[in-house]
Amino acid sequence: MTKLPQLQLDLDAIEQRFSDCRAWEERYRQLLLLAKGLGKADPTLRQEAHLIDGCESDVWLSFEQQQLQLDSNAKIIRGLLVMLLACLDSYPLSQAQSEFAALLKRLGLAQHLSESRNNGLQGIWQAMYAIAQGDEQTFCR
Amino acid sequence: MSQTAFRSLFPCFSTKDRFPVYLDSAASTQLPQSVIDAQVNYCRAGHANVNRSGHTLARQATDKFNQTRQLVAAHIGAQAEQLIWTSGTTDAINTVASGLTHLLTADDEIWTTELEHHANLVTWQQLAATTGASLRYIPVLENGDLDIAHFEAQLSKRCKLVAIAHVSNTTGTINPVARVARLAQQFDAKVLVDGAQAVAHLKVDVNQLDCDYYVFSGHKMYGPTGIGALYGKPAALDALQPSKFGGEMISKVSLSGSEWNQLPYRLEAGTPNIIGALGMGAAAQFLADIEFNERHRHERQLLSYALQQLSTHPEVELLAKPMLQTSVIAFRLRDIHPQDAATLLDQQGIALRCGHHCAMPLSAKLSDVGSLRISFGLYNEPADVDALMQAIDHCVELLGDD
Repeated sequence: MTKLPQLQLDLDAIEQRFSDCRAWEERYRQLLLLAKGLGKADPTLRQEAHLIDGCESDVWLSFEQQQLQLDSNAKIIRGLLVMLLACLDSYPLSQAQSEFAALLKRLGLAQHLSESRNNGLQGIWQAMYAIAQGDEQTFCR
Repeated sequence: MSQTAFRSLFPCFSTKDRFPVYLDSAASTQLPQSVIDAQVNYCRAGHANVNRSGHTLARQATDKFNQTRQLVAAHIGAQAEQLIWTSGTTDAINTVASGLTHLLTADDEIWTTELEHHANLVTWQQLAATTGASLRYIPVLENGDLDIAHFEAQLSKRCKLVAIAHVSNTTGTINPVARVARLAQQFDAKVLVDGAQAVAHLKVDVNQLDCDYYVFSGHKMYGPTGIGALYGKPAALDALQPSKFGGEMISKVSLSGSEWNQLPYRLEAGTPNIIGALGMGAAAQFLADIEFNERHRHERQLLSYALQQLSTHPEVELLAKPMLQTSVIAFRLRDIHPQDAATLLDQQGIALRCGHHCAMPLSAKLSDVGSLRISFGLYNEPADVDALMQAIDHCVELLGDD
């Protein structure tokens, strides 16, 4: 059993938050609020060795002592990381990425899945697959 | 011609769907109707390969293609036979780098600058690695200008080549390329000028610049993608060994060896991008049809209005203040990651670039998290700057509260 110490929300709660949003501003307000839920990462996380390749903003990932930690210097990405962690918490790793993509589409945030943004989200999944090496339970609570 | 008249020449701005406030012309410009027509009309009228078959349709295509070479050459004050078609600026730089490999040794120096696009930097890193030559950089000063005094002091007869952008794609700095060329030529070094960001905005005369090579792309001067050009002085083009083989670059082939065709064909392997070239020719014609001073005045007014608006906004930090600048501005918003800003600006219909702009060394010097970049084309208006400023306010309001 491993822990996702930063996560404070489940998928239903996330969907609930977005369900009343009409304008894009409201969706991004919610996303920025979610970002605060990511909580403070271990200060040693933000170092070169933990950096995921991404063009526009930095994303750091570590998996030590069975603890997955994620962080970014961009707030919107931090909000998306909360959603990613929630997906990881509810689904086996092999399904989590497609569930994450489906969630973003449902919530009107599909533009963040575009390859042209090269925002490191794809890189995070690749890094997690590399760590898990096929073990579906690696990142489960 | 009035501002709205410029804009009306570009059909994308009158589409029914809401078109963004387009502030990303340094990445690629929109196409005017005349450039679209030139390509479509050629395709509709029937097409043939050039410089090969002798039938009437092929001769017509070849004639048209050759006139186009003349048009594009004239845009930078050159003659048709001095112009090589390439797939773009990057391809042109690579053609020069491969072509000069045989002339460089481990004792030589290649100079470029800290403000280059990766195409005009990584290519020389590779050439230096292949030949053992040293790669040296003209430093960039705090304000975004180049430290030419440093270059002048360090320059020696070891220098064989200087590769420099005419205009920086990140800061809009207009570099003193004519002066750099004069300095370099005292030591018989060749000079390549990357004109990708200049050809749509400045009056370029390669004779006045006196550079050996000048390279540029169609898609940053209102033409299509996938086409560009390499200009060279006759001796400078002669010095280039071909790096791609086949097609009309060959004059004679036997099983024991082959001979190369004359310039410009020697450096144009394979069937050229005929449709792209016709589009680029139409783009050169489009620019020639508008009086330069009129275009220049419009772009200068736009730039100074944008600089004035951005520099007086309390949350905006300009990242460079070059002495001479054209059509590009790099900035960021205080305490806001550029990617967050770009996402929310995109939601408000503002199309701009965020990140390192394919110039990581310069970008890292200006800001540790990259920057936002706006860049203008003829179709932009002061109202676009107003829309940007309003969107920035909204962005600050959404992101600023914690």
